[in-house]
Amino acid sequence: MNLLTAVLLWLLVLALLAHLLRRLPWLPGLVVAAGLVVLAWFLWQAPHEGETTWLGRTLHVDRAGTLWGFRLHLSTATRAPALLLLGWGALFALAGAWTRSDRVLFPGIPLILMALLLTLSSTPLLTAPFWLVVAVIFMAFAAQGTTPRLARGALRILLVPTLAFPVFLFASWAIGQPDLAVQDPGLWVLGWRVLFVALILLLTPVPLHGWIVSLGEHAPPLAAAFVVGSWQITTYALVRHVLLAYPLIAEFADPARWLPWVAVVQMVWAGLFAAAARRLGQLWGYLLLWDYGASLLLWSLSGEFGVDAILGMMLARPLVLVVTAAGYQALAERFGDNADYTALHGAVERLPTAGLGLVGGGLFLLGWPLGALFPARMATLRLAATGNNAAFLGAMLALFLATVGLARVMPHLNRPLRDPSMPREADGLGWLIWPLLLAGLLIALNPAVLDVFIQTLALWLVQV
Amino acid sequence: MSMPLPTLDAFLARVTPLAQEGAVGLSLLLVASLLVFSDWRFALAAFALVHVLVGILLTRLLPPEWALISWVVGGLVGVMWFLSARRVESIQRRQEKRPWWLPRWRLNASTLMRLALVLLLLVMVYSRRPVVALPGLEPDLAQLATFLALAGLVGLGLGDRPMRWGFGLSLWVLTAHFAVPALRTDVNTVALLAGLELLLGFAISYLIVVDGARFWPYPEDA
Repeated sequence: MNLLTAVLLWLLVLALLAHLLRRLPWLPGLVVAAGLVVLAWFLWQAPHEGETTWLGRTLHVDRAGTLWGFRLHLSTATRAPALLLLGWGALFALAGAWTRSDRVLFPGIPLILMALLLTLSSTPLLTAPFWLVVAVIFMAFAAQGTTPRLARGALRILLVPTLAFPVFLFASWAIGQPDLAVQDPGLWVLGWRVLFVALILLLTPVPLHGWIVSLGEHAPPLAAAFVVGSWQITTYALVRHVLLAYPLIAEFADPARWLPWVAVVQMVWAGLFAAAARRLGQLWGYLLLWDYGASLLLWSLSGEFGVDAILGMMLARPLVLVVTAAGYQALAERFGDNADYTALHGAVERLPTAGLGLVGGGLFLLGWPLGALFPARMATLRLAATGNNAAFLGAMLALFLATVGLARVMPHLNRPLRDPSMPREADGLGWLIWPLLLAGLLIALNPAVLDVFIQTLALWLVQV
Repeated sequence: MSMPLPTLDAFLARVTPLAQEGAVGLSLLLVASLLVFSDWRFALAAFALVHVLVGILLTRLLPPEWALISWVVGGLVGVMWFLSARRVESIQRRQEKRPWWLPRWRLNASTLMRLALVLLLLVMVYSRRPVVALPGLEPDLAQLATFLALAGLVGLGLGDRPMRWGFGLSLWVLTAHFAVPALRTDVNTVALLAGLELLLGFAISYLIVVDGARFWPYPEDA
């Protein structure tokens, strides 16, 4: 058995266990979180060549498998995003168990991770996005949950990889024939341009950003944050791999030029609509979009030199996302999904930690001091200020607008209580939010605390 | 006296004239109608017929055993969506005390909007004849593939109901069924595209139920 097969089987068993235990209140989330931590620890320690053992079985680390024309191999470079994904999955499963999130999330997390790992482990590289379609199908289930609700978020997740996959197939055909450059130069050039379009599709620029906002408005908050984050880790690793494997694409569309603009437009768009939001779900959706754009901006400005910074940001990001999502989820349970600001009577009085989670988490998501993302956002702004003035101005404008959006919600959270029978928030919420805020504070004050992980993951990631 | 089922060769000999002449035009009309119909039964029937015609047309590009996979996929997806939509509507109508099979004709603003957009698309296709020409793809099939892609994108813009999105995404994948095998005839690619459509069909059928349950007058009765 090879390493990837063992990892996939483990994830499948976790999904089955979570499904069997789904009626129980917190156990499935705990089982999934524990299982993912064990798997992450195993991958962290496993050798990069030769053999290793797992539950008494010998695993061949170097050996690749084949399936439906794909060659599947969990390479050293793939192990870095795989560990990030497993860490995110464990944290979100634990937070979901703690906050009694929708039960579809628990079997959903290992299944989503399976499909994302297959995406990153597959060659030919340009047909690997097939597994992204499989991933978004699992994501759609997690985003919809078990409660009857508008399916807009779940439907929009399906859009991008479905549109992109045939485009990748065409690019794969055209680029895969070196003779075509002589026989039909027009078609050869079209192949490269189509590859550029396919990559752009995966980064979901405005106006394809709607899936993120719809998830914020219509999906359970933790599921929305996990789906957006895990998608971005995977597409970062995949697009980076494609850019390195097909450097000729820069002749047709230089990523150093277009990528910052994709990111800045997303951020400004998100900032504008966050500032004008009238509903909590809208605000949460546009915060997710802002965060997505800001992460993309760091990548676009730092390129290959910024691998360490990007990995550090991806390690710190789930802490802040979980705080914000948990706060919003507690508010949504009391005031309804995507509640209007005017309905938030008594939020601070009865749900103080939830309000703090939403607003504090939101500010830390934007990169304000004392939050885990402060070093990463500061690095982004510094890079923009030194090399790309337009991107810097755009990022500052977006930051200002999103902060206004968060400031606008504060007086509404502080509206006087109307219904004295409204229960107080669960005690457990504080036990989730405060430790995460403290962990974030520790990272903000001493970013070097993550260095041991960052340096190892960066060393692995660059071994393409 | 029962009539024997035709062999595959005999069947192909019978449908060859249809594949050469009538199927493209008929497919255009059926695609347009599936986007316009407000009642899911008729839209789903049009969707199934489109898959039948696409299977016949694909015999011009692929070996028949592979081309007719479109029938299997369209049939399975159609059955899944039928069962889901019927479940949603039968519970809703039982609560409203109306039979599930009775079509619900609606000529509301949304239907008129769909009609207007589809007419616009048909006029555009008729007058401008947009074609994405690919090597190995005959002009009429290239025109149909382009129309399917445009219709799919229009379908995705026509609302947020799961079945309509399913039609839109399916039409987009059907485009790839023509475009990709014309470039490379490879069983893995055919299987991947078929698998993609089946998986999307599976997800959409779940979303039809969970989205539709919002409209049950008494969700707790389900």
